[in-house]
Amino acid sequence: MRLWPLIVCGAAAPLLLLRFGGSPDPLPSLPRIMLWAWESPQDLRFVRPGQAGIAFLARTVWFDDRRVRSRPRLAPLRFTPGTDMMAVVRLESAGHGLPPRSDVVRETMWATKTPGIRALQIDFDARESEREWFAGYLRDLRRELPKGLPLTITALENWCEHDRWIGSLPVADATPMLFRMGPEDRRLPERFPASICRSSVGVSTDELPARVPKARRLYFFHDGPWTREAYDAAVAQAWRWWR
Amino acid sequence: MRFWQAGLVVAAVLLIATPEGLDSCGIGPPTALFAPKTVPGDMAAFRAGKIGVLRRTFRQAYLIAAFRTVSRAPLTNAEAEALDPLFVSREDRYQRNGAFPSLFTSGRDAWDEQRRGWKGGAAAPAIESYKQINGNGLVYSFPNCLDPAFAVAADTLKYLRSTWGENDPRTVDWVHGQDQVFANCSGTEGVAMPEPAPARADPLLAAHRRYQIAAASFYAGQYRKASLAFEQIAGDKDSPWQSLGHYLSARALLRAGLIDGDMDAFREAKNRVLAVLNDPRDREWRDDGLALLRLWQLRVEPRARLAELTAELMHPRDEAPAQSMTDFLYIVNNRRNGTGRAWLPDEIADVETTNELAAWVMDLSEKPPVDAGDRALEWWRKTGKPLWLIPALMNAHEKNQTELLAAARKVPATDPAWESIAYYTVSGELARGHKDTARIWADRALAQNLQIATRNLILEERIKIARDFSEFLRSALRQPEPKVVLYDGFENPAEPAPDWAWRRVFDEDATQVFNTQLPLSLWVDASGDKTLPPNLRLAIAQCGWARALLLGRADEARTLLQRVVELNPAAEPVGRAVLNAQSPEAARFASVYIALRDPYLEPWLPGADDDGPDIARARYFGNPGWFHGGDPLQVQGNLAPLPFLPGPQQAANENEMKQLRAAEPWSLKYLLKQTMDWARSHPEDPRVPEALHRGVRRGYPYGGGSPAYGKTAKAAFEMLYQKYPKSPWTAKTPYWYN
Repeated sequence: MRLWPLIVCGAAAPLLLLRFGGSPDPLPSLPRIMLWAWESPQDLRFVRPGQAGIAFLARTVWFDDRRVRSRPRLAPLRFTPGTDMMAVVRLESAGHGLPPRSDVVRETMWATKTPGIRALQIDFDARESEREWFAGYLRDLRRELPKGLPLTITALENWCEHDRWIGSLPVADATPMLFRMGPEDRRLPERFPASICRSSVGVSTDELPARVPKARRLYFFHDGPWTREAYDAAVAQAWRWWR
Repeated sequence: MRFWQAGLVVAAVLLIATPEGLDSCGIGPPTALFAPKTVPGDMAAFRAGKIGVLRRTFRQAYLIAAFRTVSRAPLTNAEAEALDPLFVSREDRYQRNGAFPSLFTSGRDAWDEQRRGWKGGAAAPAIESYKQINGNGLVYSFPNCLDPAFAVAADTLKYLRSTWGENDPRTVDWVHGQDQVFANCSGTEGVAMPEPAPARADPLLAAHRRYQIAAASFYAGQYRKASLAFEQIAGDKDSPWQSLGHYLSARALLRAGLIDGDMDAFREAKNRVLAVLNDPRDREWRDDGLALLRLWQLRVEPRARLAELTAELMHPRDEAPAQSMTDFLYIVNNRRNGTGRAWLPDEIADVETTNELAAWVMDLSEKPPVDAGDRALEWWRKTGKPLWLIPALMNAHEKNQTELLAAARKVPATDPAWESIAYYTVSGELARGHKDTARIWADRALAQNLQIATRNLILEERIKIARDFSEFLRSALRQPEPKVVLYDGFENPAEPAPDWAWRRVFDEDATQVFNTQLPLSLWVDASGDKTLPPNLRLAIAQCGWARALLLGRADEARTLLQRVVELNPAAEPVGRAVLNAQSPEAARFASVYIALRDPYLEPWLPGADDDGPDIARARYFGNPGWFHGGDPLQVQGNLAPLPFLPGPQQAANENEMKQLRAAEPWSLKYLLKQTMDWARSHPEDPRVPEALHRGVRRGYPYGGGSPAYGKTAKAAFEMLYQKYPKSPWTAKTPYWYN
């Protein structure tokens, strides 16, 4: 009699895996809803620990072929202690040449000094000509990071749909950003061809698509400071998609 | 083998011809704005006193500028030019131009250069000049080590290298000490404190070391210790840093107040700053001391400082008021006292009733005080300035409405505030459900010579109360603001004005109504309505024709296509092929041929600045087909019903919407299948190879928009090569996209 819950769970597990992409969660310690908190004063104390996590812009790194400079988050971020936190580093390329990767890795590493972060996410809209450099940067960064700290990236939607290069990146997860896709907005696939893009998707609260590809984790971007109402709406939307 | 070679050639050409560094996601082209949200539409007119409609979302510098202009204290040239950089912030400029943002500073660069160039010891450590505050549910950072500190350190190292020598133990010792000082900027590895110099050390090195220890204490957050150490340096006549001592001592105490909330230190800081300002020996630090005093006032006596700043901002001068503006806006937006407590209602009321400029900015802000409407009305009663009717109307309470409307009626249309007053009267009355009053005000305003953005804003309200289709069309017509565009998420000057800026077009509100709420019969009417400009009638006729095709409405389709041909004679050859077709099948293929030639043809109107359809042109790029996913049909149900549309027409539209949803979309796959069917029965039709080519070719960038497209594309590709091997269209089709 005591065995039947185990049997049910054992039978259900593969089905759940299939539902969410057929592979284990690359970030098992993080909630299924993550809120991107960008550079504006953010008071997210209404988020209960465990209910959602916060992926906060921790640092922006600017670079061209000669110089690399960075700046941490200046705007205050308030949250309930115990909330799962992910540091996000935004890379901004001036678009005319790339610096030594080690310089950018060095600046990125400052973001990992924030105590208690559970993962690091790199946000970089790499141009075609920058992809090889980006892949090398991620490899170097992975080597520098503590082993237990997962490294993830945001991904342009077309990387996940058309490009094979993304599959070789040394990251635990790539989150396709399904917003601000420009004039070529188009129908989203049921599931992205690139398997690295299947665990999560990112959407914006002001541009919610009618449906999203299957994914176990949702990242919500909100333009400006998050409010409780925007958060509640995001949670409700997440569950509508997951139903 | 030929395909393989052709593919290789195409790949090689692409490799050479495609520019590197293309943005993967692509920043779209500039987008039309009908009424900018953050800046005035016409800066020159604004500077000349035509302030148009002021909006809460405007950058607040413009609200101050408007107040100055209307208060007969117009901006000087220097002040006005200072507004232009505000038009696009530095960070925005970085985004646009690929330039580095303002955090790239000369002092830090100079230090990095000196330190990396010094080879007398350990390599330069990484420096993080910001300190992170982290704990108890709060994360933020602040710039701890400022640029002048790096500049001074760079100069010192340069001097010591040349005086003592590169490898002199004193230079080595100094550099080691300075590395420790800057390690405290971030403080991630704890406090790094240089050792005091030994008793017999070189006196200059010992003096430098005392300064380094004071600086390290300062950056490590030991402000009182640092203040004391700097005070001692001020008394050390042999120290090269003596003249800095009093100033830095005051600054350390100020930081204790700012960062640690040490209010005693804050109070002491003021006395120290005043001492610096009053001591002739410290005169070289007078300007810096004054800046410290202002910072102190900003935090501890914000309301008193606000009064000073107001006087500064209202007084015309020949320099940019950037710092005064920043401090002023910090106080009116923060509304907190020195301890961080939010102002109490009576404190806000005090500012609102005694400081006109501050009251103006607060009442027009996105977070106005709760009594903003009443206070603005009081200012209006007190000063009689029509300007005050703007915030009074924006924040109006029902009880004041009669008085406000009466006052608004008396303002002449020539008054600079009039356009704002008219707009907020219309929108306010409409929000209260007073449609007739709103309509009277709107029509009166629209009869005036308004600024473009003002006219568009009032039309946006007027269209909501259109009484018939003709009124709707008149209110729908707008002209984009020619001098401002939306680019990469920011409102930027249009340099030069885009072509579409001079056309009269529909804004989103009218486009959505057309696409989701108007039955086909009204599309036909609109396409023949000569009050609309030909470009709009042509767009309506072309998209309406596509819509009629989907709905299977042959008569309307014919009428609309005839209108297309009349309005655009270049479309006659393709249009006549449909209109003169001998059978429904022939008409259908002629229509499919048009759809394949013009990827922008859709059954709904495009945005004002989108590439619209032009069936006279053959193009490759565009939509892979008419999709129902992500199209305007999805928004139906969210729009309010159109009051002017009779019930039968509403029902007709609902019925058409259902048909459109159920109709097979003219996807690329569908178009290709239709073409292949026609080709089997009419293989000699010269349009067939072109149609096959275009159907296959258009799938290249998208994969045809659906997973099933690949098989159809392959079949079409094979048909092209097998049936039309010598056609030039075949030669232009090297592969299909699977």
